[in-house]
Amino acid sequence: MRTRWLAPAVLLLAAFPGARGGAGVAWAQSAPLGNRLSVSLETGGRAYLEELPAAERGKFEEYREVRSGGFLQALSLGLLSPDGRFQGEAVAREIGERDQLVRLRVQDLGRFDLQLRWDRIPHTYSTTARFSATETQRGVYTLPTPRPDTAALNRARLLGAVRLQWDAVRLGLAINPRKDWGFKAEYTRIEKNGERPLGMTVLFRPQEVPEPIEHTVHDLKLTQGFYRQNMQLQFSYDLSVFRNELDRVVADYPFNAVDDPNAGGARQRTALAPDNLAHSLGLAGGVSLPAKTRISGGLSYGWRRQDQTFLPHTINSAIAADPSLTLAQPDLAADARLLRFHLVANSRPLDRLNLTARYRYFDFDDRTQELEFPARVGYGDGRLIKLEHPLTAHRLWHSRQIAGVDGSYRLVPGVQLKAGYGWEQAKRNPEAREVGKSDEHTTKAALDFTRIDWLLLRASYGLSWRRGDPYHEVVEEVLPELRRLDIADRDRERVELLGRLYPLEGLTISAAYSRGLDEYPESAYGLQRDQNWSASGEVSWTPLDRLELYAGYARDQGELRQRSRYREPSVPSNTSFDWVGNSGDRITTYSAGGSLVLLPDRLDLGASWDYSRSVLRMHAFNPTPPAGGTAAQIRSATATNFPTIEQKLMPLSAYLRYSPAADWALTLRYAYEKFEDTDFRTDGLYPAITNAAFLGQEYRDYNAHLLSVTVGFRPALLRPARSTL
Amino acid sequence: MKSARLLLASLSLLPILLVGSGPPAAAQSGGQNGKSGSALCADCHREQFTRFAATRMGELFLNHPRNSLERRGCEACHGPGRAHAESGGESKADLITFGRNSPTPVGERNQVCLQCHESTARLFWKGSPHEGRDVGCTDCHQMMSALTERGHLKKATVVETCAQCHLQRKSQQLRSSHMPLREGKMECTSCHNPHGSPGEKLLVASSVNEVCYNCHAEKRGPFLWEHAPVVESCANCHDPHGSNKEKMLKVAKPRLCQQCHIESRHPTNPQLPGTNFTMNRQCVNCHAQIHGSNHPSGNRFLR
Repeated sequence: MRTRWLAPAVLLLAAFPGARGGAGVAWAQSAPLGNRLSVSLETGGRAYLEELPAAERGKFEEYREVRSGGFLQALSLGLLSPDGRFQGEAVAREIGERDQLVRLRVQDLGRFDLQLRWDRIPHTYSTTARFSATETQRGVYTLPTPRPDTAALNRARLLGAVRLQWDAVRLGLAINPRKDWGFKAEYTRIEKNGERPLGMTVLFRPQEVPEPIEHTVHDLKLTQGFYRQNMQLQFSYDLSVFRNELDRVVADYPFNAVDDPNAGGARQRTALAPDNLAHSLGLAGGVSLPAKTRISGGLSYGWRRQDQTFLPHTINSAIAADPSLTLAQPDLAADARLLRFHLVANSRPLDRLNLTARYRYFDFDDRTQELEFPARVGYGDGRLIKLEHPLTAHRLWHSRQIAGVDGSYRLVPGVQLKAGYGWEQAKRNPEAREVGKSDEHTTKAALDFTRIDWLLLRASYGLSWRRGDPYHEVVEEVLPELRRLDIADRDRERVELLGRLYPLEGLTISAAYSRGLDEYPESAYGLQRDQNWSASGEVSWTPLDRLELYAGYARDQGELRQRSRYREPSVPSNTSFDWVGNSGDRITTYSAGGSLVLLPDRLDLGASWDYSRSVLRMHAFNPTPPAGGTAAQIRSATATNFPTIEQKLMPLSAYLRYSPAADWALTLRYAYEKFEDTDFRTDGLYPAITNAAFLGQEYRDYNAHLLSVTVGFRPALLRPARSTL
Repeated sequence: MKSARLLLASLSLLPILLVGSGPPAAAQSGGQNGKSGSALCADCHREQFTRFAATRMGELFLNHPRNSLERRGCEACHGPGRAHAESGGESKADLITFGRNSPTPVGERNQVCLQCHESTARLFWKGSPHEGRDVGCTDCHQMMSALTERGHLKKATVVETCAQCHLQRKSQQLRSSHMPLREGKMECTSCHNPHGSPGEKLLVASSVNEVCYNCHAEKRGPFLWEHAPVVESCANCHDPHGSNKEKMLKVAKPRLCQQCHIESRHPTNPQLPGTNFTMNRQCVNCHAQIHGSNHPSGNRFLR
């Protein structure tokens, strides 16, 4: 704890003499080759007014670290050549914390630019998880013998935070030796380490374990461009490699102590994300023609590969040796090709007229062999299921063509009318999807009004309808009248309005409204209707140079209707088992804040406040009372409302900044954040309920009060006169 | 790994130490071909000139121009200024201006910027949704001062710049399930290119999934068993702008899955609270590999 305070204090003390005495001057003068140096440092300490327990930090620290004690908020160093052409900078924020950022940049203005960025991002899933098993090796969880009962599972040790840590390093190089010649290279490496919750199941009795994550993503993008005034051409190559250090998770199953051919295995095994590789070559360009016409387009071809060795069908020794489970090949040898093409022609034959035509083609051609399995192990590592017809792993190849034309016409200066038509055709593997081909037509119109300098209005309306080939059966057990939402016939309507007023100098009033409606006219079952609207407004006002104020409001509302039928295999067509689900959202957001300069260059203050409340309800009812089955079936078919789910978030922060000298700034900041979550699905969830052993993770409510003091130091002697660093 | 990072960091700083302090290549036009030269502009527009000179673009144009256009300084963007200067500032007829009440049509204003910037990320500006609605470069960018570290943005951050018009997206950041935008770890431009792109919705790649795979490459596969709506578009189930449902889902589980799954037994049961099917992670308690499974018996995405 003391050491956390020590580092910033030492740095600050080291910097202090530079601001007051000759040390700073000497430092500046001794900069290499006469270059000039700039330095700034922000450091300080923070404390919770009331310590926030670890169990309540899950949501509060979801993507950040907010610990009490000393912190180095920002440190930046800049180097500028005397003529201002060459610049170098190093910036670090939240130094030493889980959300640290380091950025380095060296550039020869407009000619050469080298950047390195290392960003750390935590992702906390929970701080309340309990787990009985011990990780005997990475990804292998062993329970004590005998197996713990429900009470023992609920008394299991706390895991601490279930969290992922992302380390994203990006190295970019841009070289422009000539105005018409440019080269860019960017390498990104994302490393993810930690755990996240993973469900595993046997015969509908799931347990949850921390999935070990040791992922690395390598991404390389190379671009070579040739640019002339009227013609641009770009070649590109992208390579993306995903590596997972672990291919499986193995966990003792709390509800079985021995392997059994009917009750399932004593252990479970899940395959983790396989290593994969993708790369593509691309060519893009544009050419400007007479009559203000431009044609641009691109073509790229890509490959995806995946050949991770398969795990055996099961770890359940009671069935694992069955010859029907012998694998025909060791891996998938996946081979998918991607072809993308697009062309856009844009012309302004008249000053008032802007015409655009576009075409796009996307083809995902999965050439992987479709494997067939004569048997499988169902219900997790539960039972061997020998199949009458082999089970085929269909490949989901698909393609999409999108074409459209639109034109806008300026009626008078500042008033523009736009109209357009679009067509989208999707084709899918008809052996895997119920609709092989669908066509969607879209018409749209828009009006933009910018004629008066104190008013801006934008309005748009779109209407589309999607129709597909006749729906055909792919999986026998599916209700024939079901229409899946992504391929079903659909009518869509969209309205968007934006208005902005500038009634006074410094005053801006914005308002926006949008409405969406999706209807599925042929969907007797499945999603039938999805409608939503949103209204929002914002006012920002700068009545004085020293004073800025803003306030905002947003309201979003959505309603969704779906129809389903409870289908017992013995009575799959009992229409009285139909049920209708109505889900609805209502989200309200307020925001307000401002800043005030009390004494120029000396004293200023500011505050911001946000409040968001969301109410989610999932209601359901049976159009007719369920009848015609056993009592158990009728009980299962009877629809009921779920309890309402509600969330509230309110962050508030205020600061007072005092600059005793030009080099120094002292900031006192108070931050308050309140979160409340009422969710019947996770609230008070013990790790083990009947037939399930969860980690017991949830995001707890919290009230966090934080007080922090930051000292900012930027010695004038080390600040270049002409720099934007 | 850590030592490699340190090495990279150190190496990237080396070039600055080797930088020489050669003479400035300053070059400004002056009184040629009807031009008045930036120095003359500065006589009257001292404050704007000083602010612009402190920006990277100002540094480039005024001190280190690479070509004849940049050498024109102020006139590279504002057009010939002699008539304006000779009229004592009265006449603005030949000038290209960029303010909200500018008489210069938006297309012409944008063309000024495209003289230099119609490459790389702006290759597909013409014909893009923003261009088609007469959005001006200066609606989002301001050249005359450096408010932001990069991009010459009009607002302090990318999110605030986009939120000038996309108000709903701004409020979505406050939802409990969100990408780390409000924590400053992502920005709108992590996924979108507002200057035009080959893909839909101004995405930086040619499909929704290819954008998501940039960071979530573990979901790329191809898997042995694939879930059709996942393969076609992550946006079938997720709203990446923020949601009040877990995992940025569009609809809360189990209703999300029940929209498409009317097979038999448990997927079709309207369900009661308090069971394995409605508690904790609902359907995903068991169907944990819902994005695809490479397990020979993973056809139900259980493992």
